[in-house]
Amino acid sequence: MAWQQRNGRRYYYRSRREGGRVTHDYFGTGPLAWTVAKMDAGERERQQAQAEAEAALRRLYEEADALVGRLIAASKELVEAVLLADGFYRHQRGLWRRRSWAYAQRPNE
Amino acid sequence: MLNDPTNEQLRLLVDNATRGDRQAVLALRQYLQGHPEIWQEAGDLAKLAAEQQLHLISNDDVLLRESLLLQLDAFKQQLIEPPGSPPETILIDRIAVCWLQANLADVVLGQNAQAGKGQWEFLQKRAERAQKNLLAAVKELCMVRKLVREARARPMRQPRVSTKAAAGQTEPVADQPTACHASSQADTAAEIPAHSTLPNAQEPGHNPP
Repeated sequence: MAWQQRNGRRYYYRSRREGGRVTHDYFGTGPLAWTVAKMDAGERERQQAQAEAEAALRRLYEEADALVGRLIAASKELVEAVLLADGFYRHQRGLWRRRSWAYAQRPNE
Repeated sequence: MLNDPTNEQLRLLVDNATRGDRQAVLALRQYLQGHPEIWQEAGDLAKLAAEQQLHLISNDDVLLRESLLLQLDAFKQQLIEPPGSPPETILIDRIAVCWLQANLADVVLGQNAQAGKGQWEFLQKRAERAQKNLLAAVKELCMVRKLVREARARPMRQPRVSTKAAAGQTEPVADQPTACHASSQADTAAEIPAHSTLPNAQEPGHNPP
């Protein structure tokens, strides 16, 4: 809500949420209003800077995690390729089993 | 890895092998043996991922970074079980990276106990995801060890083709659908080249013996 213009004069209000309802604190037009307005502006700037810092940190984590994701995908694909090459297959997309024709003679058979 | 357009051939072989194409399985085997660089690529990716996680943790603190590297190496050594295999190596690298990620996520979560709700939820989800990644990687290593050892104990049988086929005429002998035993025709066995023109031997999944 901040500054409100009424009858050619500016009045400062601070809005806040209280129990699900928005209430407004009135600070008038004098030095108190200017001081509170300055404090609120500082607080907003601080919050914005914090949000930007958090977003930058998130981006850093997301980039690093994306690389881990790529590694996971690559290792899964390579492992799958190796198992397929050894004659295994996924039984109903679940457990790996070996195709019967892939079995060689046991040494003692 | 397989999404890389240069690995189109590998993806095709994997797709065909997944469908039970026996020739594709053999070709895939030869492809993997003939292209060791794919393991190198995966290893490089693991190094890069570990470097990035280390950078996030240590943040230019050289002592911390070197300590973590030593710890990471020791951790990897504990996981190695001879005789290793390329998939095991890459899975150990993956576990190490996931371990770093999970530890970092826990530390960051602890440091940001006073963070806003959105940030806290993001960090908490990240920590949970990292933990899941770590457990999945460990599980996969156990599975691969078991299966690779099984495959080593009973290596894959080479397909038998008739002497005509061996001489150049493509006429395969019908595959044995069940578990194979040594046969008196073994002397006629010949290896089918990876790029064989033999028709695909589509086989439904057989029950293992």
